[in-house]
Amino acid sequence: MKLFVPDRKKFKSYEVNISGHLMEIREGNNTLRIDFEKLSATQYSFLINQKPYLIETFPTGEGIDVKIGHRRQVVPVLTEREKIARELFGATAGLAKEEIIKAPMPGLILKIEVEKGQQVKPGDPLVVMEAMKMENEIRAKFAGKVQEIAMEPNQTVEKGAVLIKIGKV
Amino acid sequence: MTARQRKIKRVLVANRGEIAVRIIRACRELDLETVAVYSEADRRSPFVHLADTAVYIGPAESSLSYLNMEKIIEAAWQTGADAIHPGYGFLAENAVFARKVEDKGLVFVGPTPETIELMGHKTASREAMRRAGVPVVPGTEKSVKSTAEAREIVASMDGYPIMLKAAAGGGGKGMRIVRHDAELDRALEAAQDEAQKAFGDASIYIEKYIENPRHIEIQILADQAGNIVHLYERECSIQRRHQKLIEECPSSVLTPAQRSRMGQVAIQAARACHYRGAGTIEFLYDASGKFYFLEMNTRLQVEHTVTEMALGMDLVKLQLLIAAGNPLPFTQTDIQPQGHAIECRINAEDVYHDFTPSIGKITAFVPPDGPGIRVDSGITVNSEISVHYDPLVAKLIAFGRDRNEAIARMKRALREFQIAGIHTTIPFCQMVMSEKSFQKGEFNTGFVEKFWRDMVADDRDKNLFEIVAVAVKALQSGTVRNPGTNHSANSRNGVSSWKLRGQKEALR
Repeated sequence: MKLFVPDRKKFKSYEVNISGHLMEIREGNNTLRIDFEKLSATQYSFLINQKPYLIETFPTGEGIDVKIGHRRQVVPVLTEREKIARELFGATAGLAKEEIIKAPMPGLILKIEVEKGQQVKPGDPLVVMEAMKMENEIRAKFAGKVQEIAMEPNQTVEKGAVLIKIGKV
Repeated sequence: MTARQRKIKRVLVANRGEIAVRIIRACRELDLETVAVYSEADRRSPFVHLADTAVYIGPAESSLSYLNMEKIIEAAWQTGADAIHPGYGFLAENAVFARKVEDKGLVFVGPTPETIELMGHKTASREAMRRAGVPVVPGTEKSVKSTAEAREIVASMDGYPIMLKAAAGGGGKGMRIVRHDAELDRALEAAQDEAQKAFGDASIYIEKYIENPRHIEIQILADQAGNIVHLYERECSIQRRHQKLIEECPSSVLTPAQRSRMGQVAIQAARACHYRGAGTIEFLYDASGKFYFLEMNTRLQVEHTVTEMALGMDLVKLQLLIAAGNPLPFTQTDIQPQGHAIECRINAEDVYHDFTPSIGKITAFVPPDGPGIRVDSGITVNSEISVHYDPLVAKLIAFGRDRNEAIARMKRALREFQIAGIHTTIPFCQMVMSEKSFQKGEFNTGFVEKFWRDMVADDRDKNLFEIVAVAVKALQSGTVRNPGTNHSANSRNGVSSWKLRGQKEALR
């Protein structure tokens, strides 16, 4: 199968063939073989050039969230269909004009640091939540204007609950 | 003080997780029976299986279970326990609980309610320590009422920076650093507000702010006859937002003279509050080598393990022996470090996203072992990490003849440690162990702030991550398009000509 990784404005193209426990990955003139074993639903053991790597994956919205050993990165990898969609609609395809801040974990809302209509910049604190006996500050990732505040202090929220909507500038 | 022999045969452990396991282990070695109490969320936790008796005390919310004094005391009564060990956190430093336990004729494994009460109150304990000749950070003993009063106090201690602290506080709540006079009014108001909300007491006191100190604490042990020894220090400067992450014993900065001076001061402090059992005097240690009393923890500490490993002792057993009225089995001169120990706290936190809690089911759990390694954990495969309790899932302790060997062993063990299903602080600990200034012992409580952003931004092995991500996507897509193509696919040792950049980096 063909897979693509965005590389500046273009795409790096990979050709992957799987046969039994072996995988061959080609990119241009380079060929790499991976001997793989699936250990569990989320874990693999890879041998690359006889060097062992323990791999763990996490479900994520975009890209492949992967741990090699204990280190972790998120790498966007697209199938042919996903690549075409992106070429047609651009990298921002499907991205809303607003940023929806969701609860990263279930917990208790302690404090709301912003008001409706307030301008925020990246890094500004929005909400303070308590989970696991610790206070966690949720900050804005983009600049914009607070459009909606969807919860109140002392409210318990589930993971993924919408907290705040910010209209992007 | 007179030692009172108390027969202890059955101990109720009023805690959960790794510390419950730790206490049960000590009891078992002393041939004491154990009673575990557990909440709905902990029915499957290892400490429940390890105890001799397990009593259900309520739903997951700790206010209804592990903080429910009546339920816990009732469980002790009903199971015939004669002592209660509170561990750390929950009710460990609750004087009301300690008193209720003793009123029922049970042994509270810890100091007296009076000591807990005194040392739990910041301004009262500062005053008691100052009177006992223990150096305290310059500041007020009484809470400040107005900004005018605060200004006078600031002027009397050479100005800013200062720290506002909640008198009833702890854990960083109600704390504010003030660097300029213009910030004082707002900061005082905010601190009072926060203290009122968190502790139901808006009292705030003022301390001189010591810029980037080291956090060094002395472990002490006192029997009921009034014999007190110190068990050397623990260096706990690797912290984030006042939460300790890595601790070691001994500290790499203290000279023998400083060490013995701090030990003596800690004994003075313990004597002044009529201490009994195991306790810790925390000090701030500034760049010039001066040290100041910060607070006393009247309980076993999370990081007691490094003292145990470095000195070859079992602090929990000693706590139980002292609680039963036995004298200390050694004197100060018998106590010598045998080497160096480091502890890494393995928390369920996503260090790549600002240490946010990581919850979920543990799908793989393979702790390291081998020479010089100890793991204290309270979880196993299929354990559910929930929001109800603190994020500590395991403590990894490495012991070596010297600090270098301990660091090398810690690095080796961190690499071996497999925990799948949640994110943990392991990558953080690995990066600290590899950091030059940590290795040289040149760091303070500003360490994490200073280095962590660079550590997270580290994108070594970008190429390897890309290849692995492509491989994972292919495996997840599941379709094997070209079964049995050429390329000598049967050789498991197929060595590719493609050299990966950064391949030599030890990634695990």
